[in-house]
Amino acid sequence: MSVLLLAALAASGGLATTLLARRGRGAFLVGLVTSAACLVAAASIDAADVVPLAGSLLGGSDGLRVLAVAWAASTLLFGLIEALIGDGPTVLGPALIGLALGVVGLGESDPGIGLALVTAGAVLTAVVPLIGRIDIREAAPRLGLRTVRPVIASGVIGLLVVAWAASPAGPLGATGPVGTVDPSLGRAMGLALLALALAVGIRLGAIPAHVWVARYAEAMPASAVPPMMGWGSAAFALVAYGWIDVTISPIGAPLGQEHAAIAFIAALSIVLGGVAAILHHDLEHVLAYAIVQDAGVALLGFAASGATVTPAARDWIIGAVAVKAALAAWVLVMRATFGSNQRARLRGWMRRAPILGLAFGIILVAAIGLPTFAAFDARAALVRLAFPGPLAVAILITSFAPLVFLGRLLLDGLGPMSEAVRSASGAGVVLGWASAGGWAGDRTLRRAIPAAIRANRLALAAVAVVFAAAVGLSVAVGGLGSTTVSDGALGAVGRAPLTAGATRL
Amino acid sequence: MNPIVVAVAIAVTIGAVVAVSSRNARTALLGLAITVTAAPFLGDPLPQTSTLAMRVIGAALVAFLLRSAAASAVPTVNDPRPEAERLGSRVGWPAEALMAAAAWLVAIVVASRLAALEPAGPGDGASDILAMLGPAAVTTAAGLASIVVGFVPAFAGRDALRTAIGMLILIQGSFLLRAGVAGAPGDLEQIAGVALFVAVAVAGATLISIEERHEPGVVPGNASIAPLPRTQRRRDGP
Repeated sequence: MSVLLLAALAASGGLATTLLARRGRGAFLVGLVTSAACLVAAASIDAADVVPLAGSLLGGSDGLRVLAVAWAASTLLFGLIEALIGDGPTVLGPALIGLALGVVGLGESDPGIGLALVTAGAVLTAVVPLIGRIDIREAAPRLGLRTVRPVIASGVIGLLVVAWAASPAGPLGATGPVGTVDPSLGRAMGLALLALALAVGIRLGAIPAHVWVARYAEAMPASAVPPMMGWGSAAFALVAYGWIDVTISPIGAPLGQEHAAIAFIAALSIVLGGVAAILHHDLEHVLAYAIVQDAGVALLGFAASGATVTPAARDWIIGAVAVKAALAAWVLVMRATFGSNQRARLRGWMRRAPILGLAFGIILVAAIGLPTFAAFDARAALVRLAFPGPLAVAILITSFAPLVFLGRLLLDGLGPMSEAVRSASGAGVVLGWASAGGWAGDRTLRRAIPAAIRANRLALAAVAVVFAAAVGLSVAVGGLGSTTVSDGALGAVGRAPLTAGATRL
Repeated sequence: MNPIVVAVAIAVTIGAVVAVSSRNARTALLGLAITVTAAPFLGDPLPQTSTLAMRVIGAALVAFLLRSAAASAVPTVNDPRPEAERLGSRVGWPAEALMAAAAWLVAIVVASRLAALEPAGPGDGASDILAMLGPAAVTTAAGLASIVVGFVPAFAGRDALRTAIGMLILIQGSFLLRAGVAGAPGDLEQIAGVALFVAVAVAGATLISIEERHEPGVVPGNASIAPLPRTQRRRDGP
């Protein structure tokens, strides 16, 4: 019931926020209250709480609770940042709807349902925020079409693969006992694996399907990036991991060539994504190519088999998404604070915005990771399992590119201030009656508090970024925790699932 | 062979061909409405009445959303492009119909020879064409035909309306193919399908309205849907 409650809250609140978007304050109020309620509901998700829903079963798990809490917290923090520095609640409503569809998709054990719902959420989070983008008026329709197409392509491929593979005509419908795989069925399973990896690669923006990610990130405010290319993509990948985990992996078919092909594409994304992030000097492109690089590591979850692969891939994807969501929040507030996204114009930023500096430091630690961090260990495990010895070392070293492209932003921040940074007001805190500026009217708390919030909006947004960074760090440290893959509840409704087992997160 | 199921499958395919090939927005949306409304009746067994009703209502909502967005668009009064370049298939409806027919043939022949899909079917060497038209085979055929004709407008459509129609046909085809090869979907899967349909329709309607707001004349709203240009309405009064 807890998952259903969360979904109902998020869907209704998201719809109301979207419909009220032109009434800025009212929409923000509804959206932020809903986000806070969703955070509470997400924290109450119980692994034993399974409810029948339309002939299927919807249930929670420890992993889903971790993901939902991080997703809801990110939505709430971006809503606050948007309220403080944005033009209107263009992203908050669709983000809540995406959260609702995502948690139902992940709480449901049938991957076909999961992929359909997650794709529906991604379509809405990609397009609806375009309504408020008057600054890209002529490019908006084309941007929307270019963004929706890969989302639909990945969703359709995923749906077809899952349906075909588990049908009587597919390889999973005809397998014998474990360990006795017919060679022709092995090839069919390899084909299913490749197709699903293709779908996930397109959805995550792995090279060569990365262009739409870069175009979307450069044209949209950074607040639109996490719901669309972060949490939504992670949900899609998690459904796919779950399907692989309960269908192809246990059969133990020899899939060396397929794994090698996927590992090659993943290596391309890791190397070229990192290089592209280093070569670009504007914050949005750095964010976009950091996501592309993370997609490469996430694809490694399809490039090897074994009991540790899927848990490692899950830990990686959720950690990477939480950290990049925090990075997106930092980019958003940096741009609002200094009016620029170019490195050259942001020299010395940390001197003017120390709170943002603190947030960035946390993000840097979380992105690079330390041994014992779940994301760090997951990345090392995925690379080690997918590549042979020396190549694994080279790919692993390349995957630490954030040390370069984020580290130099840190060094820029500590250097001498550029003219743009010097002339910006920064994110300093204005205290006392000074926060009310030159206004000399009614100095009651009722008037002073809004005035103080307005005067300190950049500082408050920076504090929200610190919280987002803390969420990212905690998820990167802990991963999905005790992820469960449940398959025991399906028999209760008397309907065979589409797959050989359940894929609930 | 169940003639009603075959007729519904043919109606779904004809609707898809009309939707992607018509140069008139109203006709294209009519074809889309026929496809998405008829498709739920291809399940074997049919879903519960409530689920079926929900799918039909969802299909109507999808068509209505796109029609509303296209109808509110300013007609293409000053658009210099020929009408054929704005909406409709470049290869024309006969070519689209032939592609759909080819997809039907492929799907029927393959499905009818897969004992897994048609256990009571003709198997190898079947010569009775009517026996090949089992429920799974015709559902698979309608799905494959929808995917074939919907692919190009979905991924190479020149405007939001055509792309949205193509995507909806493509998704409908995927669900039909899934139902054909893997059996009738459960109720929650049907609900998820409706959610995806409505999401794509909302996205399409949003993009059509943005396209029109920023590039007047690009949306192929067509005079048959849009009552009057805004400027003319203003001049003539309410």
